[in-house]
Amino acid sequence: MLAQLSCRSFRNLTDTDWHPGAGCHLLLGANGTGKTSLLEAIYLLATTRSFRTSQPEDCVRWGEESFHLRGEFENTERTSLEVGWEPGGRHRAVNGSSTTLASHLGVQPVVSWTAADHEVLSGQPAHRRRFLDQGVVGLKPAALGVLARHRRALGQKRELLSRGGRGLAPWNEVLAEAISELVSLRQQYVARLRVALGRTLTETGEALPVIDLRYRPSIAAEGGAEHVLARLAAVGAREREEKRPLLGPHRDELEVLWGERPARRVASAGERKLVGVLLTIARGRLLEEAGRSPVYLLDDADAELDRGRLEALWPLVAGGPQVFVSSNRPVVWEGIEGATRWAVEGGKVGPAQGSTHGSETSTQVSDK
Amino acid sequence: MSDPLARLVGELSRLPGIGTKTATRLAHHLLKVPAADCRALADAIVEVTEKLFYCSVCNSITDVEPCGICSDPQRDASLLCVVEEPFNIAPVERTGEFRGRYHVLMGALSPQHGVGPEQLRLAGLLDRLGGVREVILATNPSVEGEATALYLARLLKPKEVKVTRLAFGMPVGGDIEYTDEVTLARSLAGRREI
Repeated sequence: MLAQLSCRSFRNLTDTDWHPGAGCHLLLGANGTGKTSLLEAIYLLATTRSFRTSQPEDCVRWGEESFHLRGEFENTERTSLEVGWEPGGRHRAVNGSSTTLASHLGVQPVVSWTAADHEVLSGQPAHRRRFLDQGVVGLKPAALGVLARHRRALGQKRELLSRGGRGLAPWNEVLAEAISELVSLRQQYVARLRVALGRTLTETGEALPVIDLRYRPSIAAEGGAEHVLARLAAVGAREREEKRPLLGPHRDELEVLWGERPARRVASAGERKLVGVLLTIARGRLLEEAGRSPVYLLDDADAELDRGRLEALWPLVAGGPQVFVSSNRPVVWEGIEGATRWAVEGGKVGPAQGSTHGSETSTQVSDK
Repeated sequence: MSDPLARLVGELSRLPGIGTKTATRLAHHLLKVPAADCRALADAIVEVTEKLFYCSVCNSITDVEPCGICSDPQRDASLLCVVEEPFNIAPVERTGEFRGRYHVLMGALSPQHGVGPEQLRLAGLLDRLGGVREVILATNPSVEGEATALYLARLLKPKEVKVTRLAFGMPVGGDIEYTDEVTLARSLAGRREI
């Protein structure tokens, strides 16, 4: 749980110390006031990556040269995370010391649904593979090692194929082991996520079409590394001809189904948003079951959802251990209870008028 | 920046892992230390480049030809440990567990860096196999080191020599929670009775 967030020169936020407390937090404000930046800061602290940009310098407030974020997280123990960027490069720390990425990611899992995630349901397969791998790593940070090994071996194989592909055998052998591990991890994750998604669907009490997931690996992992190696060897001649790797996790597909057909082809924008929020809740529930209590981040939560759907989803969302929901339409949330309301204006976050926040959440805001 | 300082920064930033910022910091540090210390550093650099060279047998760094290990009759000539770089020898030596000889490949396979089998010192290795009963492949556990070990294993298979690979496993003081699947699987495969 995020107990305290400190931002310096980050996006359009004023330098702030924020103590949000447990439970559900509703961030309300007009466009461009800093709601998404607050969610981004939390996401960046927990994952070391932004959901808006791959260039950390983009997060530096206009006119400044660097940014720094610090968060205090309370789970089984209190841990501080820091992430920042300056012209010399990015930096990150756990309890003040630089450490491995897996150790950093192990501190505070997050699940999120933001504008960038819409591509998961409407874009190219690469977005769904990333979504899948984020889930795998969230549940098991050690899987980062397998992902890194696969990416590196695949990069070497790509280069070799672009130069004619002579001497492919040892690289296929290294790759086969990584592929077998990665496909197996993805399969296990999707199997568990399907169960959690099914339970989440039931909890909504809504009469919805079947929403399901199908993982289609380009090479099955059941036969282990030897089977993978045989498949890679079998396409070797074609790979040399086409000068690119043709089989492996980089060609896998995760199909999200809406009524037994791909959601990206048949679901409306509102239906896709519903699926996205349900997937986020299901991913979070998996983490909770694994004893890794996540922070839920839902940006522009009500966009594309009608009041009925919002009310059906709300008990599932608001029941998370710590949830941050943003919206630019305060009127939509009238009558919806169970959240501490915050007003975000001009990069500052403060209690909204009539907010339910108070002694039970120990919230306070101070601008430096 | 004055010319001598700019020249020093320029030279330092040519070193691996040193960017302009670190080079500038090092140069300014050198300006503060006594001139005798700077001269000692410069002399050490010159001495290294003038007196040290690669052993013609194993490619390790030496000031005598052949190197101390290659010429030591107490070392077991039937055991050959293959490493990627000369600096990989010292950690193996520090274990005190290995009394054989070494062969340095001077790199590992890496198509992305333009390193193929032709760039590695393989001819010397094949020439040294007479009288060798075991070749220990001690390349790094990186994907490049693994691919190199697999390549060498194929190359050495017809030579009627036992080829072994360093065991992989969890690091001492490591945590199962943060150990990846491959490392854990290898640790399980390489488990031993206690």
